[in-house]
Amino acid sequence: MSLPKKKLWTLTLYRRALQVGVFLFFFLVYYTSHKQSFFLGTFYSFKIGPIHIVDPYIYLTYFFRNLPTPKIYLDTLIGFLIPVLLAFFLGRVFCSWVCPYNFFYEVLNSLKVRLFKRHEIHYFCPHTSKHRFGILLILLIAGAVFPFLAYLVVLPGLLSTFLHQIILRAMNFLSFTLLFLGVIFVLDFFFKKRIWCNLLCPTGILLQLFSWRRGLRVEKIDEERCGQCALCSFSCPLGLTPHLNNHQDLCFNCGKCVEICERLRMKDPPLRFKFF
Amino acid sequence: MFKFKGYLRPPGAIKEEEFIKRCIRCGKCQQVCPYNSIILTSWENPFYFGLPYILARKKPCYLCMKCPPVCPTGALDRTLLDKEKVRMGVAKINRETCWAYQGSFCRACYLNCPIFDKALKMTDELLPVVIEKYCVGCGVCEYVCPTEPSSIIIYPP
Repeated sequence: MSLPKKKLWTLTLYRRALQVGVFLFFFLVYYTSHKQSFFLGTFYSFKIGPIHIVDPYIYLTYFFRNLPTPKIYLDTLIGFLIPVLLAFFLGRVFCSWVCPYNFFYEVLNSLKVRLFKRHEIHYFCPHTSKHRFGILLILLIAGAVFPFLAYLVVLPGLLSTFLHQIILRAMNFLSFTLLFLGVIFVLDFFFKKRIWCNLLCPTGILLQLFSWRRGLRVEKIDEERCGQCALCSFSCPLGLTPHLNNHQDLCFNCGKCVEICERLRMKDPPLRFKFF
Repeated sequence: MFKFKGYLRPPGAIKEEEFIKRCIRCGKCQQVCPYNSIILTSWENPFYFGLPYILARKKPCYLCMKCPPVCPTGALDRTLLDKEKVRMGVAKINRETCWAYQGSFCRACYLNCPIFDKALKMTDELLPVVIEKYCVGCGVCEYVCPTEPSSIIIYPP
């Protein structure tokens, strides 16, 4: 089945542009960090001017670990609230629009399809959210007790730190962390589609936890116009099922389903972004 | 025999146990360091993964004091800007191998010490002595020592 071609600059292309842009921007920061200190850092914590933006999971484990002798800096607290507020209004947009792990996963997945002509196995994720919050709780406690563990399970931070160091400063390539990344990637890529992003990633689950139910979301507006073609579900990078309208728990607002629905139904597609 | 003497942390680092709890491994101190003195732990010790340290023999800290203000969590004391108040460790001279103590003339550590004529003094202008009250532990003396291995070594507290 061939889809009608419509626009060149679709939502996915904007998203790719932002992902590549952020990735290159971090390299630029690494190159120029001796000359300027306005932008500094990695995905664990990023400094813009006086404000230190912090990964919410890292900040919470840091906070719980230091409860006996708290030391709270205002700029770091504001930096913790920025991603939380972003998640509150726009959902898990960080995961789909910025996160480097998602970027690599999507690029490699499309390469796999194009080079080896191997089609994706469409795994429809069960919509369990209870397990995820249990896992988050375990990871929060474990991260608060064992400091090193908290920094291993945040993939955006790990990836940004190690890629920059390996490429620009020639760090030791065979590292413990690289092994960890490899295991997760193999698990994600060959066994169960997106098990890390859907069920395990503490940052993603926390952002989901902070998101507002009436913030930005994908919703099937017109039940009658939907022909149940399920192309939205087949295009979903997380393996969710928007055509059954039960994806809200795990959806990260990448907009692929909306895009394909728009291409199929030029006038008022049933699947749309909704805010408030 | 090799004895692990602990990591030499960047200037302004708080106590080691507290430091491990507070540091969030963002790597900003490594990024601002103009001499690339600060290294992040990778495979050597997975339990200390991402923590910054300095190998003084490879590249010492020149006390530019750029890293404490960029620390987001207070693992490095942000208010510390005076380089004479830094306490990263204390230098110790090995009198068995030091050239000055063996009878030759060597003033390398004395001349390069950033806390000049305070932390390192020459008794009778011949033998270097560490004044522990003023020594900041930057490691410049360890770096410039002409003997191999270095006769003056920084011991972190």
